[in-house]
Amino acid sequence: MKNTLLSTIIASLMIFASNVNANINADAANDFVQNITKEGIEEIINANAPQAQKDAKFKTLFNNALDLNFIGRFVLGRSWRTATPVQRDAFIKAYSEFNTKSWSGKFDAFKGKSFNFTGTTPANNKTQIFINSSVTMDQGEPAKVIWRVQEKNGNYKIIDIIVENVSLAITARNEYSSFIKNNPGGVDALIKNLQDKIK
Amino acid sequence: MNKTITSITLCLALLLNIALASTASASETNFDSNDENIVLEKFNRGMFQFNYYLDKGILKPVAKGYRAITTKGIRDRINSASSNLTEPLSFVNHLLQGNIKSAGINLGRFTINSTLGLAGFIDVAEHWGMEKNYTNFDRTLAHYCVSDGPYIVLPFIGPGTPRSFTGVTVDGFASPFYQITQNSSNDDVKNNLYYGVEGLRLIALREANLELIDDIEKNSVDYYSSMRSSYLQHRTKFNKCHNKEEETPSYDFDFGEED
Repeated sequence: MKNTLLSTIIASLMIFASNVNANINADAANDFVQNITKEGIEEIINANAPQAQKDAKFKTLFNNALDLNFIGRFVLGRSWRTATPVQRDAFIKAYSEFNTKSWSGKFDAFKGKSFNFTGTTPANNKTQIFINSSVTMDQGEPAKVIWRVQEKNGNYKIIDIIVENVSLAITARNEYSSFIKNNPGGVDALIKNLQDKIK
Repeated sequence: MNKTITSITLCLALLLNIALASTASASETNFDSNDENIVLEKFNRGMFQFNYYLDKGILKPVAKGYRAITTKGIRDRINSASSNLTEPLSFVNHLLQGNIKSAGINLGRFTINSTLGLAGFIDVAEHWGMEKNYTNFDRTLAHYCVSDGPYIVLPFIGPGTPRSFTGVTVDGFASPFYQITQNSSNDDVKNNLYYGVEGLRLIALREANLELIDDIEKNSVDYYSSMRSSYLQHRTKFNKCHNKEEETPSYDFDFGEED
């Protein structure tokens, strides 16, 4: 009995491990992003509902769609390794809340717009993929928006948004590392700065 | 006049020199200001600050005033006319890049919009399937593999690289609008018309970016470094050298977990 249980655990762990290394399913990742933009624009941004209700819905969608924990680790860069567990937790919390707030403030800009999905591009990392899209602008040529999606244990999450070749993750990482270098308060000062922006 | 041309040529030669000399140390895939040359970073941050206050004190309020006294419809027409002025340059640059098809579109757009589109105020050509396809001398240089060089912020002008500044200067002097107005015997055309139109174009450009720039500033903890990184990443879109294989895009960096 014990042996059966043990082998079941080992077998499931092995399946789990092989899942992690499997190539991401392009169609599923594409559907995932399409559904999110559709839900965001049609059911939240374009909806005729009180602002507070829209904000709450957007917050839930945003937090479910993005892996802010994963992105947060990356954007803190080299400082992640030297940060204490308390600093790490405080940073991830501040970074997630800051992003949710700053994106909530601009989602109205997408009112009446729609994303045109134009296919996928493989990433060097096989558990990740780029979903290509474009969105019409009020003036000028349509903007190219690329979504970087990662699959983890069968779950899909957005880990980067690239607008006209500008990666939000790499921009934040560059910015934060520069801030930490030039600021005697280091990571704590960065956390404080982000917290002030949430207020 | 001759003196001006000589000094401009000298400046251009200097800028091109920096661009070519920096081939080895090109920071095209490096957007982190922590890796910037320390002297250059100090200079750039100073100039960035100077331009920031200049913008805050003059250009931004003027752009806001422009928005206040115009409707979106009027601004759309002005932006359309402004972009029509760039068509001849896109035409020439597409030819220089050997892209005859795109050059043809620029020529078609310019001819149709300047006549039926009433001096470009209406983009008739777009409705006929000739979509905007802008290019410039900077991208022509990129096409012939001239390296970008380091990020430099110039007073009054703003951020750029030796290659981008070279591009803007060459396009500026080669522009038919510049050539026609500056060779006019009428002083009003030579000064008021040229500088009036160019000034309006600058204000319109600033107006179109009011929210975007405010948003970047509001959400930055290091405004300079955020602008620098975004600017350089955006440029990678146009760094396509004709005889090199397509490189991995800059945004496909190693995105793993930091432990």
